[in-house]
Amino acid sequence: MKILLYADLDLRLIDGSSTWLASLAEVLSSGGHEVHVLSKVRFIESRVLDRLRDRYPEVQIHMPADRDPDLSPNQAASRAVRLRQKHDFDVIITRGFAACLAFSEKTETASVLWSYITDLPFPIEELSNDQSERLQRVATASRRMFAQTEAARSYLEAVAPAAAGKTLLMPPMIPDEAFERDSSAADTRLRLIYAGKMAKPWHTYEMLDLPRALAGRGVDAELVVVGDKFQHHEQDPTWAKGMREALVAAHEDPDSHVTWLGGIDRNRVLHEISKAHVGIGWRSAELDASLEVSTKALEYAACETAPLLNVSADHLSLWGEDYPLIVGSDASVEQVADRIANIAPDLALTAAAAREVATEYSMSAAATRLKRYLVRGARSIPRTDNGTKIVISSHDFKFLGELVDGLRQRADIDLQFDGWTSLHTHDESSSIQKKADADVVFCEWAGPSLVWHAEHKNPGTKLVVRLHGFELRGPWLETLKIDGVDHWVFVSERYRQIAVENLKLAPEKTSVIPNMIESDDFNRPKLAGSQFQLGMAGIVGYGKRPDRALDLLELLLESDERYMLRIKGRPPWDYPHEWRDPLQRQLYLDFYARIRNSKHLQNRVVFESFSPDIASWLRGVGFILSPSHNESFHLAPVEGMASGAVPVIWERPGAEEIFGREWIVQGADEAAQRIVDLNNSNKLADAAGRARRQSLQWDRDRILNRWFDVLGVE
Amino acid sequence: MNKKTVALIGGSLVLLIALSLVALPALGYQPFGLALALGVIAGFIGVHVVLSRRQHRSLLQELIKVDNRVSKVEYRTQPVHDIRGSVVKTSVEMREVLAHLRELADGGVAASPLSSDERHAAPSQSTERSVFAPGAIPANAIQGRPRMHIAGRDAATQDMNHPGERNLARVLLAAETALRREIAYIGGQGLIPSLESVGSITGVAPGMGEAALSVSTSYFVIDLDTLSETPWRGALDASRTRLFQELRTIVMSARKMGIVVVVHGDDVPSHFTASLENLAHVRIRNNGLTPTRWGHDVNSALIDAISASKAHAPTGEGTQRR
Repeated sequence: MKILLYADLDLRLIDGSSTWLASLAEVLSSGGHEVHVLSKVRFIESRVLDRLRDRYPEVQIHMPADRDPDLSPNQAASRAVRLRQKHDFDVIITRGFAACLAFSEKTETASVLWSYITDLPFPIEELSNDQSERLQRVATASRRMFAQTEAARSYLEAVAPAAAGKTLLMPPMIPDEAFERDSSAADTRLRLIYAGKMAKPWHTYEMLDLPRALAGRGVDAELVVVGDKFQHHEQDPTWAKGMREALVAAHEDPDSHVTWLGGIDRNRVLHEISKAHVGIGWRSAELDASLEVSTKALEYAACETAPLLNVSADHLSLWGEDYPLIVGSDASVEQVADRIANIAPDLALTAAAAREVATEYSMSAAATRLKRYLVRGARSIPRTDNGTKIVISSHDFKFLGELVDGLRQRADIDLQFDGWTSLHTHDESSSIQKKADADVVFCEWAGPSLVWHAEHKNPGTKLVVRLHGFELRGPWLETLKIDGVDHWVFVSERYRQIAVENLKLAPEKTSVIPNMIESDDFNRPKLAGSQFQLGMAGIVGYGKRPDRALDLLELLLESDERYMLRIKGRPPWDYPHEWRDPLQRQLYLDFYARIRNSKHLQNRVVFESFSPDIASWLRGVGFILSPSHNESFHLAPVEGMASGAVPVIWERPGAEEIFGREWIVQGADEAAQRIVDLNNSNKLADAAGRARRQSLQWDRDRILNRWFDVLGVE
Repeated sequence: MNKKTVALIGGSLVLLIALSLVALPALGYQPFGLALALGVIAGFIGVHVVLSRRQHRSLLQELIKVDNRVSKVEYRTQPVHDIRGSVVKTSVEMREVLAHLRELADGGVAASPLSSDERHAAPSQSTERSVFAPGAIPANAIQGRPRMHIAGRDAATQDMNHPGERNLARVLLAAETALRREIAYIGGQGLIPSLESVGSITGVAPGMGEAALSVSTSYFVIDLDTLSETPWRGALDASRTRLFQELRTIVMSARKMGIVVVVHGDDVPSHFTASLENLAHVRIRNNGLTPTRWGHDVNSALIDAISASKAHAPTGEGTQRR
């Protein structure tokens, strides 16, 4: 694969950002890809790229021309367009909000753009409406997005809903050699190290006193400082100068036990870290809310040097609730010294445990991860002269995400959309133009658009339709020219049989292709306490039977008051056509009144509005409910299963065909018993694992080829 | 603080500022002071008019949309592939417009800050209105689907007329008195205790016509088992066709008003029994409930109350004639 990398940064400097770019280029090169790096600045020497150039000299570096200024984001995007015309990149990975925006606005780069917005406006009060709108534009145009951590992914998907379903994790990458280093320098003196920029939020000034404070506790210690970048502090403009002077003074004072090594290459940094016992990652409170994991701390851990960290929810989650080398952001030097002195005897064990945690951040782990990302998300088939033109006609594209994504991976397909403004209305001239030279017209839903396309079908065009369920009650089908439809796709065998019988279809012109999911996207770690959270996605129409979920919750609350029902989706009054049904409206009002009138239910039912970031929402759900009376498929429990939630499916026609017997219950009593049993017997993880494995049958990799067959593209 | 309070405080402040400007020694009764005072008032009214116009413009747009659709069907100005669908859609839109108008009348839209119009109910009054009344919780009109042609879940994103939470809060924070259902009823004494356990009953007698139903009525229950105990005795028999016509008119009105029509009982079928059953949203017999499209076990306070009623016991053949 041909991949272009661009980051809005200066490759002459060594810092976390430039190191990331070099690491990514290295990881991708190790996967056999043809890697190009576009540099924002022109340079003769770049220490951060030395390692990459030594190992992969074939990586091509593109720079601004001699005497040209540094590239602005727009100039970089224009340069990338020209480079793509020459090299036909399959993927362009861009880092930085401004650069991602510029690249997303150019058609030639947007179609292969994978955006990594590290400078995400955060916390949320920093996010203006303009930024929010720009984020959404980038997310819409990009083929994939990256986020460094689960927290960052959830935040991004919430503030830019278009990012939901296409955001991948890009954790820091630590060289594999770091893990191979033996912490052999374990001499009698306790060696502390700090490697990184000198910055006030990192307490670099205060830490110079640590050897002295430790000496006062009978611990002979030294501090090694690595790095030559002094960060300006806006609120304290003299800080950087003072920091430099203090560091120089400490270095020159043999009694301080502080050694400053200045800027050194990454290999030597890792070597120095591996000689240390404790790596300092003590930060001020303003960084506690960070969405990112500290690369510095991971590097320490990889080298089997125990990182000293702030207490924060993310740190406890990553390093473990019992991790001992944790201090408060506002701790004094004396308190930090106390903490280090106290655990000094157990440092070897602590460091070994930390290395274990860091393993998944190795470059080889990153290479495996990226390989899968690229296979599933990058262009898989190059451009051809005789591509197949496929027109998708629909008024509702919500179930088409994975199919369209799969079709877009193929440059041999010219994919176009005949978007209807409602089930019944469309711009007829546009539809005529779109379908004029189409090889395939695919109608998503057997609605009036199918009737229209069957009536206006061109000779030689293949007309394919997917019928979901409700269409069978549509009067429009009475006027459908059934012979004009070449192939019918159904999401379940049950509905195929009903349609074949009702519409008198030729069975050989039908097939069953279940809905599909991007299973990787749902595979996210569960939040603490999710085993008591029941989830229900979508409660409209009343056939979804939200009242049954209340029956279940009431039963569960008798055994444990921690149970909670989380209902995600629009309320029924947001669907005027459903809300105008008097009986249905009264049933919903009964449902809400029941919650209103019950002290038990009032605080145990949570309504969460519709948003596309369902995978993020599912992190907090342990059991996904499907109490529906009737469904043609029901995607929500499938997505829940992929997330590792245990499905609870009420018995209904066709349910067993889709989900099998294991997850089906006859009613709320059985459902409650099953949930309680799973939670009490510690078998929940096993059940969740089975559900997740079962959900792989609906993964896009298994389903897409069936669609390619039906659509007639090899 | 609700919109009305804010508007009233705003209006008062504006008047106060205007009066102060006039009263100031340096400006009082001077042309500049008067002009400034008038300017402040005019500016405030202008802002309010613009805001009101926005609200009314949205209503107007909905009306125009309905009108266009009616015209399209009536004059066939554009191809209409599904007349029934168009009519249904028009009907839905008209209901939405009506719901908006009703909101306007009920004070759902901010009052003029300079008006003391008492039509705008105080919060305590509005919370007492039954949430089960057909128009109490209005449908939330869809203003647009900005991402409808983007593949994936994001396509379901909709711009709504109001935040959906508003209706949710109305139901979940409703006062106790707002949780009573108003039930129009034709039938004998047998069902009354059950019905009274879930709502307030208003008897419907011949001659009352549509006036028997109010905008607060949420259910219209007709008990066939005890119809003969009522002035409607014989209404399902061809010999009392006019009486049935009157009953039918009321039932049709109920349906138009969004009232759930429930027909209960297992009497021997007569000439108009099926006609009445066809108009029912819910048909409760001894052996079950229709419709069953949502299953046999739906949780409904009223249906459960009727089903549990002693009056629901089977009646002897021919014992109830109408």
